[in-house]
Amino acid sequence: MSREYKLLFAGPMGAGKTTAIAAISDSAPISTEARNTDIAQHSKAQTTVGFDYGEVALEGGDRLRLYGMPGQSRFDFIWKVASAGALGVVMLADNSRPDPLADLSACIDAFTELAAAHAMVVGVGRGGEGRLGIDDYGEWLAARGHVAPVFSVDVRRRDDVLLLIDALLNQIETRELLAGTTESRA
Amino acid sequence: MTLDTPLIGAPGLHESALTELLELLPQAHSVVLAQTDGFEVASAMRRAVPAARLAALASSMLALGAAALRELGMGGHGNVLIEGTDGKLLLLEVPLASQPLVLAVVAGEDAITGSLLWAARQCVQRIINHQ
Repeated sequence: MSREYKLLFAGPMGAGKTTAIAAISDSAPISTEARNTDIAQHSKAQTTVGFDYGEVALEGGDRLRLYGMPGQSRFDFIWKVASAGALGVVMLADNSRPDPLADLSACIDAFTELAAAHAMVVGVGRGGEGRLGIDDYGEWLAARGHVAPVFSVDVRRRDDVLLLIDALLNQIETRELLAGTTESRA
Repeated sequence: MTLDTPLIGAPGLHESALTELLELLPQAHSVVLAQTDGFEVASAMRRAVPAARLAALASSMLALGAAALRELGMGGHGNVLIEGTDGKLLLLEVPLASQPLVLAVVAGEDAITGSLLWAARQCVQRIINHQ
């Protein structure tokens, strides 16, 4: 039976959430970008203020509904609204930031409940540009009680984003099998 | 907002436009002007509202409204009106070329929607003329 998965892309400003959804969505995503004036925080020209929305049809009839969150905590009301009914979160980090784990911290905390109840994967972007390695992220997550696979990704690459989605769907299915709740929600 | 973020326009002039709106429409009790990326620029209020929070909410909702219009092939600019049981919230675009803004007007449930729209549009025009 075919099924729909509502998945979120979260993470700090400039981590590549909008780019990641655009890389895999079957049609042009719905976007809600506004001119970015907070240049001190990030130099990019546009920033998501509502949410991005994209869709992916999988083989076998399943569908992904992808919601990209704003990165700034002043938009945390969107995080809460979008979390309802979501089955997993792709958390993106930007390794080129001065303190990527501090950036990640606020976002992860906001999605802890979703991650604990369902699934989370972490995608580290610009992995070669920072001091931290993938293992540092894994240890940091484990120390905070998160069980999430970590991948080094370039979110402009479709295959990299699909790798994150695959890992997330595997985690969702594994947890559901363990919980004995395999019935379709579609 | 960090200190080195550029402050847009003249806050004094913006505030006088917002105050005039409250004078024009007694049923309106708070008005907040925000940048489209959610930062508060100016506010005027008879009744306290969390202005910074409303600024972020207003920018999100107007952006979602515009996204809906684009999806429907109805342009990409519009206003958002939320009618609650205890009041109304109107969000208007302020299309400044230098820095687009959002005007959020909070009014009581007794505000007539047409009057609210008219007064808010007058305010938007005043802000544009001040630039």
